[in-house]
Amino acid sequence: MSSHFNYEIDEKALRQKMLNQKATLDNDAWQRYETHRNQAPKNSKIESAFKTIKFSINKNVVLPLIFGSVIIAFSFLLFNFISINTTKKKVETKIKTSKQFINSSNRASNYKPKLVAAAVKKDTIAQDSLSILSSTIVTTPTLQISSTPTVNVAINKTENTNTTNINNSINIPSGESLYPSPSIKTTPVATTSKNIKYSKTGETIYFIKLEYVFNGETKEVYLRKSSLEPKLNQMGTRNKTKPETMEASPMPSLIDNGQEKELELR
Amino acid sequence: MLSADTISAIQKQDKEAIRHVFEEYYPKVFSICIRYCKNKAQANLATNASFDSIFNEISNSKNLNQTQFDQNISTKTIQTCIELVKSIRSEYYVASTVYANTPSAKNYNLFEDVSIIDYNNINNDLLIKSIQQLVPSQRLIFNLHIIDGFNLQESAELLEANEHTVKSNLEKARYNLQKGIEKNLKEMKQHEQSF
Repeated sequence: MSSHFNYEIDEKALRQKMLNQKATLDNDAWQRYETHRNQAPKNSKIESAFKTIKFSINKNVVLPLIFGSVIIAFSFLLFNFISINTTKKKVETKIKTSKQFINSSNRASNYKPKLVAAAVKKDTIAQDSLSILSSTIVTTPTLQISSTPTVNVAINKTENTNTTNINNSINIPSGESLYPSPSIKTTPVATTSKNIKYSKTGETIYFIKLEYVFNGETKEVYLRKSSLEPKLNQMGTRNKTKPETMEASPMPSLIDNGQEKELELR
Repeated sequence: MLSADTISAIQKQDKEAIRHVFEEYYPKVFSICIRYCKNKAQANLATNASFDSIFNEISNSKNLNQTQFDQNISTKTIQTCIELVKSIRSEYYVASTVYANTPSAKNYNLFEDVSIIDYNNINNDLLIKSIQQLVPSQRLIFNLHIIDGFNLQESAELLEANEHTVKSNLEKARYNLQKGIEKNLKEMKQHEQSF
């Protein structure tokens, strides 16, 4: 703008002039408006309501959105570092709870435990199942845990057999040899007939079924027999894996030339 | 002033009542629209849109105050004009950044160009033409602040712009309006002399 500019318009007079001015009614004005009114689609209430909502994209909207997204992304990144492993087997959790129960059994005073341990064999099913015979030997030893009342331990042993392998008969361990530590006296609850022979088709896994009464409710857990056996070696330390040995031998290409022999790692 | 019967007739979409109100308020509405728009065609569009919003308000409102309605007509018309002018974004946002061209004073003839302009006795049509020649942002703020009496803060809110921007545009509008009036007067005189 020019620095020598003098504003000479009287704004008050101009304002009065403009406000007093009234346009003459045009003959075509109504016709124009009528055609405009007919052409324009009638807006529904919902559309008019949407039109009243004004969402302007400016810095007051964009910046909080950006910061919010950054915070959410960063928190998600941090959350990925925390690993919550929920894929443990139910059996393992039951074993843990049963161990905790045994440890705390001496301290607990408000319940009367009545433990019934049962060993259940999980075995592979024989393919030729035409004449499968099953035998069940249940022993019910008595387990004494310090001051707690009598604990009944029942050992259920189930085995699927195939009559074709008659020669390989299974040896059922006697009561005390089955559980050397802790020493559980086992007594068979039921036996099969003496004449039947059956063969072993897989490894026998024993589970101890524990039944106890807690706050008036009878609960049962299964405890794997091997979990009761000590995992330490004779020295009282954990078994260590042997380190991998590495041999050093000369490269075959350098042997004949009489040069220095480089060692090759194998 | 609107009667209660007219209002109820408009609410029932009576064509005669609508026409009656249209013809009654057309001079007022059009005189506002012609100031805010760049030409007569745009002013006609703005007038139609203004009457649409006015009739919508009548049909939607249950207890319409008659005196309040008369006052609101001009406000409604101004709002509609602003929306229309701002909706033409290519004109509003591009042209608003253009500064006024100052005429070069190199060929200024002292004896020929001495003409004192009485700005208070300018023809209304020439005044409106000069206002229409302003760029949209300057035209809007000049109309709002100088003619319709809105203060700068209210004008800034209506235009959805910063107050400093509005003030700057107003100064430019004042300058450009005076220069436009001078230019249009000169052209008019030349046109008269040619006949």
